[in-house]
Amino acid sequence: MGRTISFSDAINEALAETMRRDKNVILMGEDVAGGAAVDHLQDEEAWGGVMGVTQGLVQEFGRDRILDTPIAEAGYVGAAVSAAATGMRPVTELMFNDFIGSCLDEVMNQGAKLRYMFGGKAKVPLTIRTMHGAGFRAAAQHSQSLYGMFTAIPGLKTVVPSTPAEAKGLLIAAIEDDDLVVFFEDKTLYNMKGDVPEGYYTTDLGKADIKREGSDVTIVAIGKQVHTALEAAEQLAAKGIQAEIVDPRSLSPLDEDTILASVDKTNHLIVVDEATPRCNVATDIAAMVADKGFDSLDAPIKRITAPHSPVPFSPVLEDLYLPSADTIVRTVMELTGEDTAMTT
Amino acid sequence: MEASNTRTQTMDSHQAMWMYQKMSEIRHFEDTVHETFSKGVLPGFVHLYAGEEAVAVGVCAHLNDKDSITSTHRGHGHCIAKGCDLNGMMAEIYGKETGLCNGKGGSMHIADVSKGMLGANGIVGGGFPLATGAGLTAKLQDTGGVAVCFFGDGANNHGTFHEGINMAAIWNLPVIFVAENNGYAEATPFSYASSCENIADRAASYGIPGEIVDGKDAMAVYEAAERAVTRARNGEGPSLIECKTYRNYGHFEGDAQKYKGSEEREEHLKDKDAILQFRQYMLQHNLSNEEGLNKLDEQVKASIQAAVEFAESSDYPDAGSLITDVYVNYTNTGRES
Amino acid sequence: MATEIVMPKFGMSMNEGTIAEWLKKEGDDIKKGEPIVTVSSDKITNEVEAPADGRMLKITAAEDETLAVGQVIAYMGEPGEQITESTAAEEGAAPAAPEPAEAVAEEPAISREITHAPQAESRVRVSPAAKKLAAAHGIPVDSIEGTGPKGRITKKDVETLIESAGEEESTAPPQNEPASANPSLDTTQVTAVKGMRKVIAERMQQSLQESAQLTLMRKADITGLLQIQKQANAELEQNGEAKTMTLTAFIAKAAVLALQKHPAANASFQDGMLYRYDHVHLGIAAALTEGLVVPVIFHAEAKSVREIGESIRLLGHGARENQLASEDMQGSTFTITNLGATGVEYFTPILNTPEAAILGVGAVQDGVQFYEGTPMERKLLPLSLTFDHRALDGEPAGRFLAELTGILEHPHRLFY
Repeated sequence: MGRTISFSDAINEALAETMRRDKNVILMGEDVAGGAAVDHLQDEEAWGGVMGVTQGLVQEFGRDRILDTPIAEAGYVGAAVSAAATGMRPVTELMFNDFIGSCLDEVMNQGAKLRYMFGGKAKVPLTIRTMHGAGFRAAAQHSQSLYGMFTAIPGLKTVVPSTPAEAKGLLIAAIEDDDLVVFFEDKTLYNMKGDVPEGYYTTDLGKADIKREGSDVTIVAIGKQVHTALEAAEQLAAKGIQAEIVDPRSLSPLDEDTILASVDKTNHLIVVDEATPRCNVATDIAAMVADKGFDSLDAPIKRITAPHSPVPFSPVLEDLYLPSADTIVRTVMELTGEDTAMTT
Repeated sequence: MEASNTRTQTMDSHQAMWMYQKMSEIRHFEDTVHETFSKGVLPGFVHLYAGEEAVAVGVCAHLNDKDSITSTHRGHGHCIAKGCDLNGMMAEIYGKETGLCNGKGGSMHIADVSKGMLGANGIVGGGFPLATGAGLTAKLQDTGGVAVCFFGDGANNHGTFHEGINMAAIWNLPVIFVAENNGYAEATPFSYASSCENIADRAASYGIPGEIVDGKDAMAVYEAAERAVTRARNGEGPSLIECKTYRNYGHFEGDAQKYKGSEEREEHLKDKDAILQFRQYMLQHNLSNEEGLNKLDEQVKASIQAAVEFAESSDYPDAGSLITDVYVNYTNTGRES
Repeated sequence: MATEIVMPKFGMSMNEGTIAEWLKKEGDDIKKGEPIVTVSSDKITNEVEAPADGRMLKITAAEDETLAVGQVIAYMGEPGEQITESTAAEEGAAPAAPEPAEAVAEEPAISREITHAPQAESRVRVSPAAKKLAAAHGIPVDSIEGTGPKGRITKKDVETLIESAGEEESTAPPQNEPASANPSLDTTQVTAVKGMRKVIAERMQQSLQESAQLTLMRKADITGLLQIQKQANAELEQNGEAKTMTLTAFIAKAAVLALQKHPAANASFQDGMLYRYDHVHLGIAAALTEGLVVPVIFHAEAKSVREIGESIRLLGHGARENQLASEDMQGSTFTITNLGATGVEYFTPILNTPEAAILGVGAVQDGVQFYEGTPMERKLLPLSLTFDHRALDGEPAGRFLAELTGILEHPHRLFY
């Protein structure tokens, strides 16, 4: 049965479910338990991650399985890669995806490539959980959405959930997957509440979800932008335009069929991605549809993304930085020619 | 009130008053930010430096504008000690266009390159190679300047610690690595995360001096920094100073700090308080009197209040600045096909 | 000075040609004699060879573009060589039919880089989905009014047009939607129609659209004819000669004789005028890997079975080797197409317009016929005659087919 819990708690449950089922699942990262080796600290007082997402796990699974690490991303992510290759099924938390700068080698050159380089004789069942997303006033080095960069790397999978229920199902599937999966959690969604089934279940990687059906325009949106797109869809519906919202959920593998079928139905495509526009996932999806769905198109494909700049700190600038429902609505109107007055 | 960074070799009243002023500025600045943040006025994360004032001030007392420093996510104290403008700092933390970085950087990225302040840093361990590079510039351009890398105990376990210090050592660069060991990397005790007893112990493996000082004692830091800066200016290469210190607040604002023992907190907030200790030192050595220091404290409070008012009355950045200061203004709303 | 490559003349009657496919692109270094482009005219496709060593500097005629013979289609020369304004001016002034001049103006590469006169405004803005739907319904996009942003023709515009056309004609337009809505699920290979395929496509569609076609069918008992054919070939073989006495040669000869008796079928209907011919220029359809050509045996009425057989052999060889000139494939008055090799019996051939009739020959069948009450095993030849009802009616067409059948069933009549 479902009950209403937060995105953050849904992730916590996914970790607990998999850890109960498989003793090889461990969680490692900076302060994922918190207060290691502090005698007076009660487990329930421990941080459980900088955002408290993993709070309580140390009480059930102990500090051998909820492993605090030094601030040494290259060290512990690399160690997780090898632990995975030698029989464990680790989940490691890269606190902010921006910190990949400190451990890209371990992800890109080691974890993602072992299975292939070793002729299929190794597997790396590692899941890297990491926070992404702007809107938290966390400035340039703690706000990026780098899933595009990871999606560009063969050998690893990328998942960007948008709802609590899917976060849980997708994370369990990611942990059980035998490939390295990078699992992106938008820090601004942690408090979002939603119906989440109890117990164990998985949500398939590589399968998009149609969050809203519509006949006039397809909006493919990633992560939090699914909600921005849904907000825009409501405004569009009031104008008589029915938008179909496609949430890819995993970017690698990408469910091309669902996207193409939707575009074939609506003949219009907008991709909303809060990452910067060059070589990003919106661009990748736009190219895929231009290539494989050209004859379905009735208008140019539009990408709504951040500008090609770092994330600014100032709230007024950061709000402008992110895609907005207004931008989506305006773009749809321009595409469909419903409001030529707005086409300037 | 003189706030110049030019120092004499011996501690005189003038120097002591400068140091006291800076420590007081840091304390009041951070206490004010703490208060303002808790009211929900400030955006984003803030990491406060209160409690560690003696380190930044004791070191920066030997530096001038030609010298560079790299900082950490806990960078407000380094900024103030290096002479950054309080109004500009506060406005930056508020995200206003009058901020030192025009509101684009925020608390974690405050910088003033004209003062040799190469920026607070959101990446743990980010400063080691940056300080080494600044030292390389000083050496190659023969500026006479030095570079100081302030880093926390968490960063001493990061790979860049090794890479940065090793390079500074082999190239004999004028760099001073200043560890601010406040006992906790976020919520994790130093003793858990580091295999050594002291960060300074690691200096030996690079063949550079490693000195441990009481980081709550401004004079001890001042003297150790003097030795290291002199070495660096004389072309004798890098040094490492480990300052054992303590942060009065949590890792970030909102941290309940349950990992800290209540006795140790009490001790550091009272008897071991850096400003209190330095105040006593000044009084004992007749470098000032109660009245003079109280007056200075009042002036500092007023300047911090003025900074808040400046920040609050400043405008937010213009929307157009979103895509300035970046090498290419790529937009994806290209020509209609 | 850059060398001009012009639309070549491949046959005396060729006035214009269509660029079928560029085999080289701009910037390619080319040796003299290498094929650089294929050009189609009427029913023939030929390669144009490089006149000298050099680099392809500029291609000025797009694929599918039709130009008059002698018009510049490309420039070759030294790398980096400039194409002068005067050259371009000469090209603009080249004596040519008015139509190609218009085609040149539509080629943006020329206007941008040679004449510096932007012509982009003439481009029709049309979305891919609209373009596809329009093509499926045979609607030229330049006939559709675009209502999308910047006048772009959208799928909705095409749908509106189809709907209104449907209302006017009170017949529903054919729904040529693809079977699968999702292109990625199919492994369909899609290629642009060009060259010979394009010529065939246009001609066949034109034939059906512009004439009133009807097909009559009957079989001929050729048991006796086959015996004669067998004997004739055996004799040729004995003399060490090629066995050219094919069944098609006999049928062709029989058709020529029947046509001379029934000239109504040896006719054409053009621009409201009916032409009847005394001579028989016999078209023989020949299948090639890439399509179909119809070389012509001129004055077949003056040829014997053996001569006709020899002509078929030579023309077939020429067609397969792409050695025929376009005049070898023009001017036929009647055509025979033989699908017997594929096992087909009856079919409905499409007229090789403007001819008034075409004979389709099927595969010989084993059958039983009663002769004075006695069942006998016979060889039966299925014949299908398509004719243009505008030029002749069913009864004379039927009599022509009866005449033809009579000759085939009584092969001695071949020699009267």
